Amino acid sequence: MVRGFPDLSGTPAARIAMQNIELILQGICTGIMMGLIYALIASGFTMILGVMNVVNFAHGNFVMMGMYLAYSLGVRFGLDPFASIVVVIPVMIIFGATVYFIIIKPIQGQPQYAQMIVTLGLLYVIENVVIWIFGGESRTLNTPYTTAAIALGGVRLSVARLLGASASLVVLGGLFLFLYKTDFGRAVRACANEPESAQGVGINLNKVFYTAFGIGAAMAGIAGCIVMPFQVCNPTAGIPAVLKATVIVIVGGFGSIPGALFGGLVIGIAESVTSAIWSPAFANVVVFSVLILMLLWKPSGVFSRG
Amino acid sequence: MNHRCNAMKNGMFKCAGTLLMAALLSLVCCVESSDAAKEIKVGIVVGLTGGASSMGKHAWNSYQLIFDELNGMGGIKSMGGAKVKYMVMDHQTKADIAGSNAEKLIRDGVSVIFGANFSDAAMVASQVCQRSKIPFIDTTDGDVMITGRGFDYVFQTNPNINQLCDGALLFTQWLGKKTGKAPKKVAILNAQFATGYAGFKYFEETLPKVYDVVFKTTYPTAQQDFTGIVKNMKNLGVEYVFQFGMVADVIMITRAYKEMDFNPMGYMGVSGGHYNIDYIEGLRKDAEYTFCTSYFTSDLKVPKIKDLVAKYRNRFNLDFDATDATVANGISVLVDALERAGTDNPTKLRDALKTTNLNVGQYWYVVPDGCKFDDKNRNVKQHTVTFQVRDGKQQAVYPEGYGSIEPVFPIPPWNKR
Amino acid sequence: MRESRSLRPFYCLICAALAVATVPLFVSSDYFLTVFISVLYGVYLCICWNLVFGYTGLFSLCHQAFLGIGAYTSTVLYLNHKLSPWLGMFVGAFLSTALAVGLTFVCYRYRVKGLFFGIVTLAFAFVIQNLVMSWDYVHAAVGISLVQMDAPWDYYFMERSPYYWIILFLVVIALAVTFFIERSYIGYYLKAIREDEDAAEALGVPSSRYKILVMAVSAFLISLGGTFYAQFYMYIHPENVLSFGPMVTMQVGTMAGGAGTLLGPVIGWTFFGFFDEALSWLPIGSLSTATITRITYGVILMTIVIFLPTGMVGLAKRLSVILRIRSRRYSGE
Repeated sequence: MVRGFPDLSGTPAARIAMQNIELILQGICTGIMMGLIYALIASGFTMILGVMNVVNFAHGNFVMMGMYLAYSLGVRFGLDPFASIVVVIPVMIIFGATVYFIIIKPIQGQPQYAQMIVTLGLLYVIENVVIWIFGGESRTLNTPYTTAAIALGGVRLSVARLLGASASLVVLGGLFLFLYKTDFGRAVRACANEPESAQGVGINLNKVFYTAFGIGAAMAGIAGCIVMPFQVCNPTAGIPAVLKATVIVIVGGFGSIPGALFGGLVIGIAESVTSAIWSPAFANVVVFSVLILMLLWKPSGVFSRG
Repeated sequence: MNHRCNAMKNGMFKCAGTLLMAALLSLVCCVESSDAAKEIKVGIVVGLTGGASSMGKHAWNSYQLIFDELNGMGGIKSMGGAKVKYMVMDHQTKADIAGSNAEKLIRDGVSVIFGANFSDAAMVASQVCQRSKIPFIDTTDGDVMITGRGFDYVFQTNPNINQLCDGALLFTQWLGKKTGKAPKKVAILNAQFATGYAGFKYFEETLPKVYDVVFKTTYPTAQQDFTGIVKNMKNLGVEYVFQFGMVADVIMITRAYKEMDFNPMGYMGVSGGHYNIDYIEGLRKDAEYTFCTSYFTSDLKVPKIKDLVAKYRNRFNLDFDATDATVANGISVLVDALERAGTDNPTKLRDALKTTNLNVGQYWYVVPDGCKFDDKNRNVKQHTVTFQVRDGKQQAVYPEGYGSIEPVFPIPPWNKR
Repeated sequence: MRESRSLRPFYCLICAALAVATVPLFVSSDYFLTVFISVLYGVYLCICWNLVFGYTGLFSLCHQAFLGIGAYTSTVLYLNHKLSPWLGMFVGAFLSTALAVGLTFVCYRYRVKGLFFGIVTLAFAFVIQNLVMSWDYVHAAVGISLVQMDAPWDYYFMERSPYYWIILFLVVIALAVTFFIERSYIGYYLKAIREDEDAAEALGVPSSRYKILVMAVSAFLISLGGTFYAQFYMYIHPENVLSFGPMVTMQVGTMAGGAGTLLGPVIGWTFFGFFDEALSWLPIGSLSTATITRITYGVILMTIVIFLPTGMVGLAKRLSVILRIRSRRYSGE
């Protein structure tokens, strides 16, 4: 309180201003948490894209598979979704490698539209297999922390999302370490940047591709487990997920993990804040506008592959 | 030279192929199924795959259960015990397929078609029926436009979304009077689907006459994050929320209420996701105290219900829910009309349907007060049923006299549950 | 190798169309006519997309937006301003064309090509869908329903056969446009752009002009299809004319039949369209049957792309070559 100035802190105007600031802060906080999770989804997508130049339209369905795996394990064995990650990783790696062998490898030489159609077909197949096994209804899990929240001033942080965001960071960190600190990771990056030279140095391109696809699928599966505590999943959850991944990868740059992180945060925050301040319906338009602007300004993304 | 021959061959193949195909298909058309004596053909168009499949499967179960019971009881007495032969088609939650389903059923000689547990499908299928002058009885859809196009062959036996909104508003006003604590500031939330949005527009006009609508918003059906919306409602001091949504998003919204510690006096779902059993299964304890205005609860004090619930569980091992009830009502209307008309001639059947005046308890009619159509073929006699989720079950609180419990209002805040 | 300048294939097309047009005369069942109409509608969409994707190599994922704009424009103009959809459909078509030209020009200006072009167009289509979903003037998420009546001057018919002839006529027009573009110099340019745009430009092909042209023509045509959809199905909603659904139809039909060929889209979607309808003939005994069949559908799609990239037309050509070689061998001996 400054002498000579009236104390405005209790007035309606101050209260409304305070509430609006809280609203924006809430949007930013939720946006950061969701953004980290989106980044995880996008990281798998961008890795597959960067290493073997394949646009995997079924990537969102890999996430959805992770969700359903977590759901089944949760319902059958009472496993917490985070614990299910241990099972989901090997399953998704094997699944990813199999998909690569059956579908992606045969079309490696063909133009990009061929991949798109093939992965679209895969999307269709996965979606309907899930419907066949689980039915078309929405599924959700209840964990002890599903609706728990931590209050920080006027902002409330959902514990489930906080845990999810933290897990994403850990996994992304692990991926980063793998790519930059291990020999095989360096091989993967070499294939992404200079496939011919990499082969010349004796790196087995095939082995790298299998692994990359498997890891990409595993990233998606982990993301699926992470969101299960607070989200409701249904068989059509794949398409919105892959669209978001596409936008993030465009913003962040093909093949770049830091780019996926950056893009994820940008999109997460943009979506959340717009949703809070204007309207949720408008948030979609904002995200797509960001995409179009990025494509016109710098299609290779902010963190272009160097 | 080769190229020219090739192109001509292509053209000729195409001609020949098309002619052959057309000839084959028309042969199939010409093979009429011989009309067996004393059988009433009823068509059913429901969504057994796709987004509407959970409702569709329930509906299909009820059609089977009740028509089989009807046939077991001797069929339609005024037609000499004619049995009902029911034929179902799956519209896969796609409007255009519903249209061709209806046409196929009409080709197969049905006298009436039921549908469709998906508004778009109902719109297209009912139009096909009107054109072919076959009655279409919509038992489950709430779209106002189904009976808003002046089609005299199209009937809606369940309340449409406007009627549901009126019922929800009536209940809330009654609740305020009863407890002496009426909400003043209300909010409307809805997901972008046809009936939800229609209800939203209707409430935009009618609610401000009674309450102060301080917040209203539409969200995409795939929306996952509701923290912003809830924070807005908290800031504005919203005391009561009217919601139109599907199961997935309304579960997320209720969770967001708890996360954000939003404690209004109450929140009311108007049909849609809130009346789906998955809402309670998904939320468990957190579903408690939710209000919902819909068509039915299985604890209504209507004698027929216990019997139907038991038979349904016996045969399908599922709960008899609101979708099943609407089907039961719809079939009752048809059976009554057939009995009065004494024939399955579609036009005479339509005339009989128009003069329906059924009471609850007749045939399989399980919702108060029964069925009577106005000049737009809308049922103006049936009440909407409002329930509150208590002890993990949907328990009716309105209309008065039909429920077994008193509503809890205002609902307790999250930290006191 | 010069293409044949003969009009023989075009005359064959006309003959085939006339033959197909006689179908309503001896098929009286509304059901079968509706099935044919919906298959022809799908074929029409595929032909329009084939112009842009098959012939020019432009990966356009926004054609459903033009479809929806056509449907909504003519419908809204009719409901609010009593403008006959026969005229309204041209208004919609011009609007779509303007947007297509604008979009393609912007992409040219900012050098957006290939996959990126696909993503921009996809984003554009989603923006349009979201806008319509939220705009009250066009009834937002509720959709617009029309009432069938006997008003031929207003594009309403009580019988199914006029609709059959209209869509058949549209298909013939679209095929004719494709045919004449294919054999003209424009066709050469488009093929050059598809194979290697940079090389084409180096050789003096004004690629941007022709890309804009083909997008404009395609958008115009598909917009007319949108009005047809509205007038036939009598109910439009962002989910059935603006969503990714119609785009899947276009991709499946064109790819399976053979992109870049005249008859590819026709054969491709005729097969899948009838197959789709046949799904609903399955007995409802086992509810999973429809889902399993759709899985097979996806598997077939993947198999075609992997093993049969030139589609059914390519397969037919290869078979006919094999047969001709065989017959020549036998006749030679």
